[in-house]
Amino acid sequence: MLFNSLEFAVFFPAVCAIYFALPHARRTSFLLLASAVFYMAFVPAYILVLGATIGVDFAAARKIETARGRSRTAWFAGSIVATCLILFAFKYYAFFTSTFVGLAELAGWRPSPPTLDLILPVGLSFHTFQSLSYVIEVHRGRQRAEQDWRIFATYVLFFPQLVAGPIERPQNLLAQFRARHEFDPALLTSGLKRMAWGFFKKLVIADRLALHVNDAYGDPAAHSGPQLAVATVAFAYQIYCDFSGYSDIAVGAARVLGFRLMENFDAPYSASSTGEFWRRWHISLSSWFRDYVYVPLGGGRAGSWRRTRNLLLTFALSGLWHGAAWNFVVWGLLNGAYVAAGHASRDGRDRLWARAGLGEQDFTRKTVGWCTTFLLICLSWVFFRATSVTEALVILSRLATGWSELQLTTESCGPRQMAFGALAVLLLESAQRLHRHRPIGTLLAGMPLLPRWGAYAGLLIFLALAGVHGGSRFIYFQF
Amino acid sequence: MPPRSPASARALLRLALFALFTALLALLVDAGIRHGLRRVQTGSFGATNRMVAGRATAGIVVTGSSRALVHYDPRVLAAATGLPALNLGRNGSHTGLQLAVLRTHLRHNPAPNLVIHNLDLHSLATPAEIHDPGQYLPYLDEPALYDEIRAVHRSAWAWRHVPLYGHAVADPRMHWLEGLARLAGLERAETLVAGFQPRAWSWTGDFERFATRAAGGYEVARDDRGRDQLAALLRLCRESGLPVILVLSPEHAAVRPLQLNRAAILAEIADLAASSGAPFWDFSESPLCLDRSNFYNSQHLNAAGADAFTRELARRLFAAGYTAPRLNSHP
Repeated sequence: MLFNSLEFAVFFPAVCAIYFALPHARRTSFLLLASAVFYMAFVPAYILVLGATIGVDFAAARKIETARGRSRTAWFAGSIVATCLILFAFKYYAFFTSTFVGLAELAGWRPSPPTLDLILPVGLSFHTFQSLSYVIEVHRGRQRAEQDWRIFATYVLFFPQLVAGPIERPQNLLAQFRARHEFDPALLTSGLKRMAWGFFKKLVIADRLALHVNDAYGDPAAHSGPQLAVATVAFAYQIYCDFSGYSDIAVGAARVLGFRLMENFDAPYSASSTGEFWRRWHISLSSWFRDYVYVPLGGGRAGSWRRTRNLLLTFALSGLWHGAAWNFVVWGLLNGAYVAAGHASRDGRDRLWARAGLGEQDFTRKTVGWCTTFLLICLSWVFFRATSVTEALVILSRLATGWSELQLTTESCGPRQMAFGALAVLLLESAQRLHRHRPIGTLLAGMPLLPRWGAYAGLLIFLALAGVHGGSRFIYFQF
Repeated sequence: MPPRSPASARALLRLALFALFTALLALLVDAGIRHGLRRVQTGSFGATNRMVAGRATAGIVVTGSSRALVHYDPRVLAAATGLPALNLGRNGSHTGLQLAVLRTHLRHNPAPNLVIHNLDLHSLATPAEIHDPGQYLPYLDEPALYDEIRAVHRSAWAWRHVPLYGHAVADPRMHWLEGLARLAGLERAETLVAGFQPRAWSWTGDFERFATRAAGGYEVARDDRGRDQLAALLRLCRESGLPVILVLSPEHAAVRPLQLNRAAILAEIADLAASSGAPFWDFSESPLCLDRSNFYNSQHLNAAGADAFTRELARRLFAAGYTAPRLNSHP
């Protein structure tokens, strides 16, 4: 079930009403049922895949907690392998076999491994990682194993964040299923406002920019450098608004029900270094990789070469998490290289800036950092959005062509659409900047009732008119 | 059952009142957009507004899709025949919608003396969706337009009756902005001449890319409903006593070998024309079709090509006796 669908417009209020009508003891079971219904709206059979992950990790965590020595390690390793095997079978089997076949053919061997022809269950990587984090935290002794299977199943299945995160940690979410949530008017209005902001990002910005991006990236050979450049910048905002819009809706929907989910984005395009960008982008995944991959590998503790290796490995895995294709691996490696180069060159850059008399907070220095970061990130998005490394390279090579004619629009995205998309992005950045200094909600809250309602209603009407209501999926659903 | 406290009850009541307030505001905005769009005087909305206001009187009307819109210069036709001419071409429209536009024209305006219906190879096909349905939203109270749009989009009833819904889901080109701009007294510059839109564009290269993808040729779509719509258009003209000419205006010659069922489709159209007694003039062999400088893509003449074609058509009309004295004496 998509958030931007009529089904969800019926489902969500109904779930909220029933949830608060039920006695506390039955609410978790109801949430589990509602989450299962939500997930089964995509492909019903795949609830079994999720059920297997839940069953394995629930049982393993209890064993891990009570077992000692090698038995404990065996349960832990078994749980991780079993959970990852499910992910591998659905997401990576075809990628690895085709890569293997390609390498074997180079050696003159023509193997024909069996094919599985499985469709990737929606959000598999998300709930797999959420379940893994639970098992790892129990193994590390930082989380008690959950004894109630319904609570653990709801933790993995919780519908607001089931298919595209935020990837929650058990310490934050599990306990909330035990807490009593009373109907709170303040949470209701604040949650609905957050959802509206998410819908604005998704429908007004992301899906409108997608018109241009889909044209240009759908047929790169037919589009000029300026069109591809605009499409690349548009994609940077499309994916941000698509994904952070989803997170806003998830956080808002959970808030209406009385739950607090972690923040997943923090105005990432205002970052003035790629390292800062990754602390602001998809925070729940970045911190997952930091805590469970980068730090255990040694992090930045054992010298710059080790740090570079660890960063490249972590980002390559992050790329692979996004998609089972080489273009995602290259995207990850590129970002790893950015961050590693940022670390390696920091002292030298600081000396240069100091020689120029520009401190860390200097406007010029921050602007140069911001522009460089944005350009580097946009460059990496080319690999993310292209369907292959070869196509990404074609796009990059075409970026320098056709600047004499300066054709910016595409067939589906004319001047009006483009101007509107640009204005919407400006509005977004302004709102984020304003919100950092003073929350917009408090600005509106100070207004008298009628103008305040007029502003909110006007925004909802604008959302209805200016949004693209084609029921398009969120980009991150595919992961 | 919630709400369990007076504060909760008050919150829910406020939410309900806010929903009502939003609905009322939506009604107001919807009425404003509709009012604005119905008062636009330029472009496609201006042309349709004049048509439904009964201010589109013409001796010759040209119907069809974008090929009609950009191929037929009414000034040239008027000069050759002595009859005022009007182009009713609608961008991206299929035959069923072209018929609906003609019916709407006839509903509000005096019948013309001659209908020129432009064809293309897709004239016997019904599309899966209406192209740019936003251009028709202010006119869903027109029975012919509504029926045809509803036949393609079952949810068109909601576009018509639920405030703002049509603009939300069926107006990706944001025509609603034009309606609001008109309310504010703003009007776009006119791009049409008696409904005709000359496009002074050069060859775009789209065709070469298409030809590369369809190197082995392709089957042009056709379906029985599409055929029935063309037959219905011919029947409407016959029953209304309107002389009608079916015209296949020029296409760039290079596209013809790619259309594998071209001959069969043209034969079907010729059969329909013959059975209704309407002349079928095929300009796809015109020398204009050989010169790429007349086109901006394989299906559309540019302004210079359109001028040349309309003059060629006007000469043929004149030679065939389609002139004011004879047409005015037609019962």
